[in-house]
Amino acid sequence: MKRTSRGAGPIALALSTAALVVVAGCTTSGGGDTTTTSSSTSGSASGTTSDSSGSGGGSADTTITYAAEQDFYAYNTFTVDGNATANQTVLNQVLRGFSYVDNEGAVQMDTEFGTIEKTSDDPLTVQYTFADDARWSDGEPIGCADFLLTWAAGSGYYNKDGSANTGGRTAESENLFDSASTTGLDQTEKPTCADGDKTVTLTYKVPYVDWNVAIGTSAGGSFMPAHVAAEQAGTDTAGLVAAFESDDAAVLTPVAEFWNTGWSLNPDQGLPDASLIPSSGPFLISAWDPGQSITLTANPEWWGTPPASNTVVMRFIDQSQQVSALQSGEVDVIEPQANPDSLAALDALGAAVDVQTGPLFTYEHLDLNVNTGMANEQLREAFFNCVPRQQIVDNLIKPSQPDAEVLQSLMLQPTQPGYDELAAGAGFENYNEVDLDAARAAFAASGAAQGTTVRIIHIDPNPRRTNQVALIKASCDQVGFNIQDTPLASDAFGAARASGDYDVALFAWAGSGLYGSISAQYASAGAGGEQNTAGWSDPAVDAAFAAVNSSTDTSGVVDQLLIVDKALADNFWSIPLFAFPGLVASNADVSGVQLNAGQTQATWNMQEWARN
Amino acid sequence: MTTEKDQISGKPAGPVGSAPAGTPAPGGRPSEAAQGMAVVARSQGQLVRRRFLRHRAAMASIAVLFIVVVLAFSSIGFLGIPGWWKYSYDAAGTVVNRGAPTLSVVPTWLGGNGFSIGEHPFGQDDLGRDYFALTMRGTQISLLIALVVGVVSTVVGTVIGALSGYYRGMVETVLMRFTDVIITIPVLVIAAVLGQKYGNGGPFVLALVVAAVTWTSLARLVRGEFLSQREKEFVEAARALGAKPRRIIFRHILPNTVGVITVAATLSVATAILLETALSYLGFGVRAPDTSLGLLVSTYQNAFTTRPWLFWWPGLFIVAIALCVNFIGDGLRDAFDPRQNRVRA
Amino acid sequence: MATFILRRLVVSFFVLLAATFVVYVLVANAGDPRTALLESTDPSRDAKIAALTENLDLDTPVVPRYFGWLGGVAQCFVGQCDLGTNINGAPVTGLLSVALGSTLRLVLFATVMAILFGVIVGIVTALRQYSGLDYSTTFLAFLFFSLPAFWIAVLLKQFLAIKFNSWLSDPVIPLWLTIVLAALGGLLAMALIGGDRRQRMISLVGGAAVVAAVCVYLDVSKWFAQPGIGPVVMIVGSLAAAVGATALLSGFRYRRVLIATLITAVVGIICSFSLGWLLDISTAGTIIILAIVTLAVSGAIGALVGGVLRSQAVKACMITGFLSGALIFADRLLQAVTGYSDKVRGILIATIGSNTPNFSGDFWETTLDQLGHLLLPSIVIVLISFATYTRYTRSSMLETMNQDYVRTARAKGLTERTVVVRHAFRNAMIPVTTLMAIDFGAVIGGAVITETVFGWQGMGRLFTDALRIPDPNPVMGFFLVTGTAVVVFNMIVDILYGVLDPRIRTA
Repeated sequence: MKRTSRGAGPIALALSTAALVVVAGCTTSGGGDTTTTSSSTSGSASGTTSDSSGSGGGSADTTITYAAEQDFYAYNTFTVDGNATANQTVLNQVLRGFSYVDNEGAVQMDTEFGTIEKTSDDPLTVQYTFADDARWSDGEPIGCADFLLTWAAGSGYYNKDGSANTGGRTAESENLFDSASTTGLDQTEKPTCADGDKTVTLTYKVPYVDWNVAIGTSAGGSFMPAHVAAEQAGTDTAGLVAAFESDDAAVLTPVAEFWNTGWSLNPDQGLPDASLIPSSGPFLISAWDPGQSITLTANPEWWGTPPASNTVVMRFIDQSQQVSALQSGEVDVIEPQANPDSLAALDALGAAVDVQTGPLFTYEHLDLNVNTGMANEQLREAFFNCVPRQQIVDNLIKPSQPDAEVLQSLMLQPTQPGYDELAAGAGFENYNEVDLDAARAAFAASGAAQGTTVRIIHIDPNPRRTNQVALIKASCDQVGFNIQDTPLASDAFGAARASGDYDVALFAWAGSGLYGSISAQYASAGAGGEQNTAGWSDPAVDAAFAAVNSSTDTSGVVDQLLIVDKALADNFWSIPLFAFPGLVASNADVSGVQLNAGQTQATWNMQEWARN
Repeated sequence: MTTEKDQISGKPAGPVGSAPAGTPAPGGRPSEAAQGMAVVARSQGQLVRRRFLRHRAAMASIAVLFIVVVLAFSSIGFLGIPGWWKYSYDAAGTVVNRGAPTLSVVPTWLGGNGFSIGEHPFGQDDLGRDYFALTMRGTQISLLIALVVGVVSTVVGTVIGALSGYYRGMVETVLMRFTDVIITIPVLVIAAVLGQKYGNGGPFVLALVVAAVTWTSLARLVRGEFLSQREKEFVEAARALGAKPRRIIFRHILPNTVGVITVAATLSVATAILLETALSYLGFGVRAPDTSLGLLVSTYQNAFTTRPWLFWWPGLFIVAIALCVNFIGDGLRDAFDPRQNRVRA
Repeated sequence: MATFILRRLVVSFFVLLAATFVVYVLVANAGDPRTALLESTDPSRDAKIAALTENLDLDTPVVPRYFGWLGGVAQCFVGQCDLGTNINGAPVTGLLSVALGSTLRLVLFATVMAILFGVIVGIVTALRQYSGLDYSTTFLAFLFFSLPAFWIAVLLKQFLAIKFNSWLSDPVIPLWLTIVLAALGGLLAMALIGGDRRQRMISLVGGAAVVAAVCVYLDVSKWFAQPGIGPVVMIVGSLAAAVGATALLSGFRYRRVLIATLITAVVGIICSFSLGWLLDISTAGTIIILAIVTLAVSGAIGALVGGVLRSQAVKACMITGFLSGALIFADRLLQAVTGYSDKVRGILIATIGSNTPNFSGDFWETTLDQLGHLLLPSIVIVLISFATYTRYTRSSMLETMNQDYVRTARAKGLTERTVVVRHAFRNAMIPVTTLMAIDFGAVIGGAVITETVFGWQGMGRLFTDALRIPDPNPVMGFFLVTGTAVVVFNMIVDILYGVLDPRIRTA
């Protein structure tokens, strides 16, 4: 249980982030934007162990085995199909980039890969410089062509017919490249560079807060080997660069076709030829046994700090079976579901295993709908006062994560820098404990009839949510509410939430550590709050989000987010409950394993794993 | 007939219950005239009853099952009737001592704490709910599911089997091909669809789903019986006397197939309990906040080494019920088959 | 008969067609594969929804979509199967072939074992009806049948794998275990041999003594540290195989059969001492060749020496040859354990997966690796399905034992062996055979829980994982394969009935 530090890193880096990804208890939309690496500039307590070793020392000839939940299926995680945690887990240290989000949610620069430098604020201009000896594992240098390929995919600049889209943004389904997202890069000018260039400059048309993770981050916009795509399309990198320059549809169409589908894996045929899947990181994929395991071995061409162990095997094991696999010695690192039993079973193994628990970026909360049953402010106040937040954490979370605390912010997560400031100022902590008197007073003031029905919708089946509603009901029914547990199948929940057909919604948002689109959840519906179906509207909140989204410097972001958090608490709109508990355990003779609060799993720093 | 009860394409069936396509279960034939020789002056019913009452395993099973039923329904009450147990299955409380059970049966002279029930004899779950009450609720639901499945699948299977066996021709073709189609459809697909549509329909809907797929083996069994019975002389005679098909089916043939049907029905009950467990394990079964034995066991499957009571109590009841029902089925089948009576009474 | 089969074929085809339609509509109504995305605020949301809608053709109404899918299936007849893609864009055909391979390896092996054990135990309990053995096997069979699969799995992992593996690092058999095992051995011997009270006591003590002696020997000789069969057991075992095969198939009245099997056993023993070098360089191919040669040689010995009872001698010799060959094989396999154990850091019995990742070794070590991974899941499947076979075999056997022709055979003065083996057994196997046929149809469906718990990417897991999303094409792909298997095997059963039992009219 070693995660104690938070907020030690430079605030400038820390604040730059957080694109919230909703999830309603599901992992398929994973991905987010992140990557990895050792070379951290951060002073955060975690994650810099391999810096000291510097380059030079080779990898130890050891094998570390990791238990992954899902099989690998695509080498390109920037496509719509490939954008998933399952693939990112494998590729964290295979495809590196300029920056990544570390395990606590702070953006870190990957200086081994190259450097990013903001050269102007207006217009926002960013210069990318690849490391001199940056090269693919087949020896091909990494540079201009790779940058252009990822930019072309991530900007939506090319239409399906191959024509250049110089005007506004078109629907993503009309793009030539099936990229998972075009946010950010769609607001940039087409960069120019010559084949072999190591420096590229990107100019934004409008300011973009997450510019330092817009391109060249392993999840979302990682650099793919352009020379492979070019060769598959019958040309070379020079031809490809020229084709981007002249928007040559005849060349770009086959390149995009390969980019879209050529890196998808078919379990029937096994791993593609090694020349198709070169690595730009410390590891390369050396073997794949579909449904069973994938093997990563040290990349001999890697120019940075060599990985501590030269082989990492990932075995695909159901979460419920990972503890016994660790116990039997068949795997060294596991990420089982954090529940009281897996924790207790691991603790029972004593000194043989290291266990880490901590909060994840995914957080549970209650949204109160001001358009329906929760229109009355006093009624909402009464509800705030009767939700047993501390009891929920004590009963349901602490058995899985002994140091769990009630979540005090809807903007940032406990591990993220700036969280403490929000937690202290937002005012949610006034509602940690149930205050029945205050609740009854507010309930009486609202004029609501005794037994006022409040429907809490949540996705079913999910025992923990059922239990939360049971606890809320036990408490709030004493005040005069009649809490009605309304479990819905996932699509019915989605429909009910989208149409605003609920009084209170109990669900989770999954953060990726980037700020990107918090505004979508909490801004007014007219000001970019596409996911705000509870009818909240406050000009101050909208102004704060406008300031966040257009800043090119993240130092003032926390102050703006505090305005939002405070508004949510003062208006009794939404109640944060807890961050999901996370759990990672490793064989005691393996060092360097760290819990990752984000979506990229413990493999985010697998190059540091070593066997003692 | 599946190799494993969690298999999803076939319908898990009792170990002895359902015979392969179109044949009577071996040994499961109702007695025929020839066996009357063994004992004189006793009616068929009396014979069967006597043999059944002498089947010790079956008798013990009936006793155990009776105790389980009484315990489950009297302890926490049912349908609004209050029971004698002090806790309700849905009342959350404070978790004491990690929810460990307070039941103690080791006598003091063996170093135990003597016999005492304590506050929570079976322990508590995550929320501090009394696990005895939960287990009893789960037993109620599992028994109800089993009963509904047993009745519905037996009635449906018998009717379809009897109609196609008696009338043959078009009726048989249509009904049996329909049966074939149902047999091929994986039960999970139906469970998933109905679960989606009637997610909160409760255990009754789930029981109907299970029944909707478990009647097929019985239908084939009954059809096989009817095919052979309808050619018998007494049916011939009844027909000659001008009896209506309805009368022939219900008064003449059906009583002669009651052995097969009884055995298959008991076994479909056992199957239903195990099928419900498998469905709950996969998330297609009974849903919280209601509970069933299968749901309890699968919710706490990982508690096996750390909080074993959460796993063992409902598991114990599942095994007890399934075992009892299987033994009763076994006893019935021995009772209906006089030739197995020879060795030791 | 031909027209009957043809008609069955046509009917089966239409049954399957109707079933696919029903399942397709059901799955389409089970939920929307885009559900998770509809709630997402990820920037990639719209692109993902659009892509999924297009890939899975979700804008088309269900019925035309079904025919589109059926069109893809129809291409299978020209060798170009198109079963669509899953929600990740991976072709279903590829997923299916991987899953099917995995399932066949796992479930097929286990089902064969279950049939073997089930039938043997069923016969024994039928011959000892209402004995202690009969009651306890009945109880155990029902007990295993009633236990949830994952329960057995957890127990096995904990005790048979983790505890056993760590015990192997210091293999000392504690006294209490010796006592328990001896007691069990004694009880088993008593139950099997039966007889009057005195005989039973002798069996009890004798069985217990033998087991205890073996335990002590294994412990003292540190057998588990250096396992192997050893020359004594090899010789005794081969000779016992010869005697047993003779006893089962022909009895000892006519000596030449016994002589033939003994010759076979001696040849086997000689080979076991002289052919070690050949086994060291063996591959799967050479082992198969050796097995064929063994059977051919044994058969030849039987044919030459057998005399009047030639056909029985050939069979008995082949059984003897096979068994002593199996002994040689097992001996060599055990000798490879030490080397294998070092390579896998002492994890002899695996709890997860179908092989050790990146394992490389000779034929014997890879075989050990496969067996070590197959062991636990196979036990689970065997324990659960064993009940069906024992009960069926038992009641079928009891039924035939009471038939008039068996009584007649006894009355003729035939030995009990002849009555059981030649008259009762064969007829009792008719219903069991059809049960097997149906079972194999179901085998293809895999075993969901066992596959999940032991980390095999089989059919059952493919199906349930897809159904939870719900991801229509993998579900349909699964159904196409399993539905076909069920229909085909049901058809085979119906035909078998017509063939095996002419009294049953083929309707």
